[in-house]
Amino acid sequence: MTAEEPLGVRATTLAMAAVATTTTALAIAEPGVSPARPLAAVAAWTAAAIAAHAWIGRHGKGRSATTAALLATSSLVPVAVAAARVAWTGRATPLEQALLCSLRNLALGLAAASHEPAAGRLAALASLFLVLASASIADGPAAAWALGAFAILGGVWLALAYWRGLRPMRGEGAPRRSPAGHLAGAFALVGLAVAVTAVGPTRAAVALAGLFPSSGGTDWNDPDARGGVGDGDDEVKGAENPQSIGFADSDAYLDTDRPSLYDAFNDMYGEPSKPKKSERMVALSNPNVVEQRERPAENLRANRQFSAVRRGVARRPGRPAHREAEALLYVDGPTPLHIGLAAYDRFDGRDWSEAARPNIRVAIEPERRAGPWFRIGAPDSRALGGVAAHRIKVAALDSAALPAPPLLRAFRMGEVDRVDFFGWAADGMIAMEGRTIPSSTVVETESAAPDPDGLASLDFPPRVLDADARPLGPAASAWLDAMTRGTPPGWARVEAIVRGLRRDAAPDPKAVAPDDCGDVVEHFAAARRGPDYLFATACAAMLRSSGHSARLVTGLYAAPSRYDAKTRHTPVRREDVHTWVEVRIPCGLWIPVEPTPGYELPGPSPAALAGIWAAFRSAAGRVAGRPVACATLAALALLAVRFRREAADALATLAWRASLRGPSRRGVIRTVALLELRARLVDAARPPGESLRSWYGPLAPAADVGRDLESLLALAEWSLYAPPDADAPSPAGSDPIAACRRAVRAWKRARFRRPSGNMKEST
Amino acid sequence: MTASAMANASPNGAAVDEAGEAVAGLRSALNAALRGKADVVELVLACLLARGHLLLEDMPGLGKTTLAKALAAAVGGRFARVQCTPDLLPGDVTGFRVYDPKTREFEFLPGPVFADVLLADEINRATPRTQSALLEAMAERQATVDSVRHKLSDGFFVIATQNPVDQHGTYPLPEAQLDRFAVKLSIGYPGRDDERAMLEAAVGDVEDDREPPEPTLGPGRLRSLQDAVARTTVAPTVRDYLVDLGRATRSHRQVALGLSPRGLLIWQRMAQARAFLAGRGYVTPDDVRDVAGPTLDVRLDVEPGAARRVLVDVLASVPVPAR
Repeated sequence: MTAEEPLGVRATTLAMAAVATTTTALAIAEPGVSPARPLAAVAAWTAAAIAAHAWIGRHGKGRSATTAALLATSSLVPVAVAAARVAWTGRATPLEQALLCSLRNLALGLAAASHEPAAGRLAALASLFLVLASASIADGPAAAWALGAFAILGGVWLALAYWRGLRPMRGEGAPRRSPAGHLAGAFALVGLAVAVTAVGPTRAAVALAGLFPSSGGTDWNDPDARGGVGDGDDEVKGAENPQSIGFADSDAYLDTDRPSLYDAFNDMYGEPSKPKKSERMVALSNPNVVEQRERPAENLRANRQFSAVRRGVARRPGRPAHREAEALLYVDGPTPLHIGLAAYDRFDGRDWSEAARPNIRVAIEPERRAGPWFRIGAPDSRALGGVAAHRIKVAALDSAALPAPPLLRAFRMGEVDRVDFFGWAADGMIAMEGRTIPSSTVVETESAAPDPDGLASLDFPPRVLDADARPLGPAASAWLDAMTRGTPPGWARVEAIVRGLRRDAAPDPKAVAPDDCGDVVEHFAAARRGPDYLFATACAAMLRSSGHSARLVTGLYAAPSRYDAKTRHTPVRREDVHTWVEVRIPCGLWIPVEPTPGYELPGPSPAALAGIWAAFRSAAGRVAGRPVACATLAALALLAVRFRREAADALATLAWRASLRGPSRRGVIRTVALLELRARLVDAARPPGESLRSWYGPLAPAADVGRDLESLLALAEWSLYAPPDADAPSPAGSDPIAACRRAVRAWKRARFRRPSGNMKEST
Repeated sequence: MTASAMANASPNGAAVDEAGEAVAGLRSALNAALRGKADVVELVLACLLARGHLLLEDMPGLGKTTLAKALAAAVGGRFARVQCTPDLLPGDVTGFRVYDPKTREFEFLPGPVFADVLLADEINRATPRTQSALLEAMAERQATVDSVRHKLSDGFFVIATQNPVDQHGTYPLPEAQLDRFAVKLSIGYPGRDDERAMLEAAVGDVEDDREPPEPTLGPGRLRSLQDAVARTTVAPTVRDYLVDLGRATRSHRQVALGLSPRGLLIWQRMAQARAFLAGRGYVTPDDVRDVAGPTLDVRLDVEPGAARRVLVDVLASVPVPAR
């Protein structure tokens, strides 16, 4: 056991935790928000820690179990709050933010408990980690100042802790005077240097800055970098370009040379292969030739057709690309996220094409809430779980279709409050009527999340093959049979097909179908590799062949790996164009499925949380149904917690009684183990570096039953260290087990309790 | 265990009973000579029974010579004293050959190392050459003069002293020589009551009237006690504990030179002697811990003033075997 930490060390520990809390608050504050609110929160947290520190100083010493429980609880609260927020509002908190808050609570709690030197040291360590992690995320000069303050406090803390460590040596020539004066002098010098640098002549500051290594230029480039030699490609200042990052509502309606989804697909997958048509010239007689005086009609089918036979793109490695902001969208919200922009219904073996616009009866209605929101009157279904909220900022994408997640429920686009601005791009997909979405527009969405259990419970009516369904070739049919053999119809079959495609085929962007391919599904079934649009095409064709309505959806995929922790959004670039499949369920909703390995659908976390809530409600219902039994159980649980030490002691004593039949040496060792357990139960456990006699021996003269303990210690030494033929030490030598029984009877837990000020510091 | 407890510990068996009486006699003789220093006496006895040599680092006038003389008288051996100075020659310690005109032969005149108990006062004032002559005597219990090897007394025991304050004109003992000593002790000032009793006893005490004390041990008895100490059982768990402690000294950040294997052997023998003095036939971890300070103090090269902290760290870092 060790003595209490001096006041100076404790105060410095609390100050370090407060600075770390400040840095964390700055790091997790929303960009652009006034710092007054987070700083007020810091003040409240710090005041709570100081109050807890004072309370522990008066009442809580020695209650290490209570302190540990409080620490664990306070550390878990931010994670629980984040989970509850997802469940109730659909808005997620970044995991690192929740973890930073957990660590902040832990650091403050440990600092509050820094009467114990171990807790104080852990608090300093946690604060150091917290301040470094937060400073790496936070922006602006405030984080740098906080880091500097922490460095100074850390230096003071190290000096004071070292001085405290010297305490055992005082009296052997070590200096007795506190190092406070030296510390103050050292920090005054450092402060003077900083002050001269900050307010002194410019030349001095420049000269000092020249002593530090600069970032220089390297071949490393981070597209999300801010500051330094050059900003990243995706990070462009708003003053220079309206396609800046951040989710500020903007009125800048500028037309730029932005790529459409069609252009992005051509860039990433190559242009569609056009089959070479052999034409034969036939001479016509002059009377049959009619002179045409107007220009022939142009075929404007862009974005109305998607070819599954493409040329692929040969990229030349090593050549620097044109440096510009490449992000098409920025997503604020949980990822992975599929953002559908076009859906295709008809398939001829090579090309997908959009069907005529369906007769959509679902209404878009304005909704009363903060800002002009619109709600889509889609049917409710048990296949849907929780709600996910996102904000999507249009950057370089030229699209009329609203970039939104599947199963859209409500949306808001800037301050647009007229419903006639919007129409349907496809069933379930909103588009602006007659124009594309301006750059810098922020689209806020609320979408439903599919519930796997609900989907599995749906009844799919038997359906004849769709008019658009094409018969599969032999290889594709055989593959489909292998994947769905023994699977019941319904959603289980959909899952079997998706699972089979992900398992049996490999994604390969270069494995495109040949130009003369007439059935890409059959080609893919034979090759078992290809880009994502071949996966999606095969999946849709197989689902249709199994009797499900399925369509191909093209759009963008917000990958979790691109998440930028500093701006807290996920940029979506040209490389993120993606193709997947949506399956129609009986109520008319289109449920996305992902057949391509490497791409994931959002996890069912909201639904899982809803399940937990349902389980909780069910449990509450059961409790309400059996009040007596539950109250008895609760009382028993409370008693078990309250009397856990007594219970552990009683159980161990029972086990000890049952084990006393062996040789006397083993019985003595078991007796010592029992008494050691009793000491542990009253927080007086023997440190590993202390011997039995050095730890328990001082207790013996203090009690009238000291002789029993002294006899047991002698017997323990004999059992542990004496040769086998040595006699047991007197006076207990004649009957060691009887001496053990006497010691167990006499030395209950309370006798091992030591006053906190009388702990041995060491040997 | 306190000194009184050890003194009262009942030996185990008839042989140990007899040994206990002998040890009790030695203990009372030394305690009579050195008042109020029972702990120091116990460690001196342990050092004697472990066949080690003793380095006393203390101020003048604290009873070093008295202790050495009392010890020599108690074990029934000859006592010799060497006052080490820079002009002391190796031959002054080991002895030398002189020409005898009567016999017309060189005759060997043995030096003080041929005594049973040798007090080398202020050993750090002797030159390294003289120190190394003493080193051979301490380590191998023999002296080589003019290429002729002379065996020393079987119970040869060295008590060397050095003054910790006045370092001017001294030759600090090298680590190799320090490692030959079993322990380093400080006697320290006696307590107030002991000093008063000492003054009271000195009134009327005339040096010439004092009877030479009777030897406590008979001839060869010391060696048999030392053999009994060597046979004291050390359990495997305690041996492992010792090894772990030795290794902990080598890895401690404030220790420049850790414990040598020879030091580990001496530590074990000191722990055996401690157990023997307590009347036990086996060593416990407490015996190891009790002699850790003086045993490590003489041979660990630690930063000045950090010896106690190192000892605390080392003992706290190695779990005591208790299962």
